[in-house]
Amino acid sequence: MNLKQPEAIVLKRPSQLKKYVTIALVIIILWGSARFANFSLIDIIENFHQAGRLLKQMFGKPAWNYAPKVIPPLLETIQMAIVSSLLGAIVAFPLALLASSNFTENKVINQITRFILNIFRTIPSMVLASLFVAIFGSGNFAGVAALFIFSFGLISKLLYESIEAIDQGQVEAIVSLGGNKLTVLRYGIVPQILPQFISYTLYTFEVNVRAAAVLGYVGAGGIGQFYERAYAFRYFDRVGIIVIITFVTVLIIDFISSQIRKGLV
Amino acid sequence: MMNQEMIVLPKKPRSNSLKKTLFYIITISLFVWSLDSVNYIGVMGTAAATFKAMMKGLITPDWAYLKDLSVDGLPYAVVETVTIAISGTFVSAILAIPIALIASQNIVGAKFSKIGKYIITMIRTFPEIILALIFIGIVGPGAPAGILALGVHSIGMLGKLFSESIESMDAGVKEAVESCGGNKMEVLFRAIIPQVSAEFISYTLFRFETNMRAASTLGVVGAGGFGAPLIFAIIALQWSRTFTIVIVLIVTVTLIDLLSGSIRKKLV
Amino acid sequence: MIKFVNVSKTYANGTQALKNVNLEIFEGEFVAILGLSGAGKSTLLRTVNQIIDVTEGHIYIDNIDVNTFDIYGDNPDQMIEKLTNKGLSIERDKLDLQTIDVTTLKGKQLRKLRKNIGMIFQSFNIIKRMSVLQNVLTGRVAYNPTWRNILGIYKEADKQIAYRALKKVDILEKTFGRASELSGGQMQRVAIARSLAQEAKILLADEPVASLDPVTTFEVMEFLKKINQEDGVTMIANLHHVDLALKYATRIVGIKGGEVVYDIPRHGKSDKQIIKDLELVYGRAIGAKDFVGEH
Repeated sequence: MNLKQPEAIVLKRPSQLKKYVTIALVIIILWGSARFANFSLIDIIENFHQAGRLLKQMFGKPAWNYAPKVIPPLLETIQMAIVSSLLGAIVAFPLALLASSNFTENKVINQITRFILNIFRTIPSMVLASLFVAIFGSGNFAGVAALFIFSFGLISKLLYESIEAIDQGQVEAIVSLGGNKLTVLRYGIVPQILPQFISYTLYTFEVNVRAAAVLGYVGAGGIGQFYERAYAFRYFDRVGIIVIITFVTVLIIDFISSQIRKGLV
Repeated sequence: MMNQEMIVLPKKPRSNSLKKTLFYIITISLFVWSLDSVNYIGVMGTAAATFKAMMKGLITPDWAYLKDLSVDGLPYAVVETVTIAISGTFVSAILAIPIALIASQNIVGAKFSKIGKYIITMIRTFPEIILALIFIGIVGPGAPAGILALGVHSIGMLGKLFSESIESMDAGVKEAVESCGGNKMEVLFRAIIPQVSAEFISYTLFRFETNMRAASTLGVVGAGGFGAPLIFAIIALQWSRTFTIVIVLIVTVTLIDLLSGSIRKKLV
Repeated sequence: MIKFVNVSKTYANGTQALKNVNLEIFEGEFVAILGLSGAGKSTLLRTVNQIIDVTEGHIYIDNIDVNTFDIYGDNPDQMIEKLTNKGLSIERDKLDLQTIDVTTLKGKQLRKLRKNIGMIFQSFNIIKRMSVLQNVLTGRVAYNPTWRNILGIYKEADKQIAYRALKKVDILEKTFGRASELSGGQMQRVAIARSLAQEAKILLADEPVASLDPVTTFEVMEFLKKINQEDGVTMIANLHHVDLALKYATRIVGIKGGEVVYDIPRHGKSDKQIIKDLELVYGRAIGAKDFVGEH
């Protein structure tokens, strides 16, 4: 008996055009960027033996005797990060409330606040630091001021996104009990966002410790100035020791910070 | 007064408030100790005058610089910064994938993944500026150093996010491919990559936003972009030019944030 | 005690949730409001404490003291006697009892009014990070100055009220425990305790048992009945299940499309007749899913 061949099922494939165009576009952008920036892999690979030499100068024999000199400015750097993060957090809290559409119903205030916060978040802290150095003179104050502004910008944004995501039911409950705006805040909102608030502040602190370490480059205090001097004078072994110590410090801080954050949940 | 029944309360548990109070005390002490570093030397005598001059510069843009399309002009510097960010992010995204894989518990097991995580933390901790300095020492000043600095540093952050993505991925899909006989490469391409690629692209775009900001500052040490002209303008007290650059920076980064944000929303 | 007069509510997006509602609720009743989802039950409930405002109409509550906004119910003399027996001193002459349209109240006056109206929700709305005791104490916020509420420092008298409330719902053993450790039914009991701590005269219950299993459902409903009968709290409850209404309510109100289409005292008709009548309210036959089940 002859089995009748089933008719082949022919499906029409949906157009893949959009996908190919996107991929092509991405490739062009990537390639164009590299060309524009004179980024040539060949050049880099050729120069890589130089890297070995430089790294050996930095880390092969770090200037351990220089280490004690590094500690005080390092502590200063940490202090700068602490002050700016905490002050930033304190200021960020009311700002985030103003920016949240569920706490502040006035849409105009929301948008204006968000706009201002956005501007402060967009300016890199080093640029802010340079401006403040020009105003206040070089030293820690400029650095702290710059990091403070960056901090409240960052924490506010993270915070208001959290505030808008809370369970409104708990807020409704406090309203129905006859609570005023502050009471609603205290019982309906704060308990829901407090762990996140602390977490964001710690994260900002981690970022600030790294940033503070380099702000000195523009004269804004901290250990950055030591980097600059050592590099300029080509004391690479000193650069190496500064990097190592900073590195270890940041690791420790990150560790403590993540432990605290884990304990918050 | 009606006689109330005696209320028998349960035993009060050991107070958690001790831990909380300790936390607050430590925080406040740290804060007070840190204030020591904020040397308010008495704002420079010229501060007020400088501020006024800045404000004036803020409202009078440096049109010449803005329109100068040559290598020395602002548009070129902006484009250079953007390209540094693009290339740097791209490089890091590619390199972050294998690193993320070795840091993921569900790929290489608990022991190896710990090593991978340490490597990632180490890379993340290295300040970008220092990396930029190192790379300048290698390839000379200019954009390529910036790209490498951003690229290497971003591997840390992207590696961490990618590996978190991989670890929280639905194990079922991997099992499905393995159970019908797929080998490790096939599992990678048919199960893992499709699942996490959307998140990867999203994280990469987010990293790109951050790198735009970083690229602006790397120029300070000579790694290309408009960081260098900006610092020079500030040192030379050319407020007009300074704020022109700052405004352009804000506009550019905001536009890129918006663009990147809308693409990321579409991916979800 | 509560009188809805031509109440209508249209939301900003154009949905008309209530159409010309006229309804009078008396002190001490246990009113069950039945109807399909989206019929307007939640909106109706929330207009009583003005969490949702009305587009048209009035809602009157009788015998409210204009100074403190305390509610004295349908029989103020009886209420005053009861309160005096409990130990509160009330100067009859100082009271100025009037009928007030709650839709006209705003700000501080509205908050004072809400002091007397308790509300419990389908999702309990307990603050999980706080202890059970702290949750119940939030029932006292309208009685305390803002600074006490912010700091969470309450007088012993308030705490005693909280303890008594917790005892009433049989959950004293959890007083100092964290609210997040409770089961659904326990959380709802804490919510009820919160309203008791409020010394609310009216309790609005928005689908209080919809998220609970059958056994816990009856447990919670029994507590509601208890406080309705023992403490005289006027109960207005949105319910999903017909048998709960039949078992606990003294009055059944049916809402359909934002209008009151059915209103009958519980014992006005036999169970079977009521179930048949409800077909009009639901627009369909009453089936098994409208019943919690045997217990």
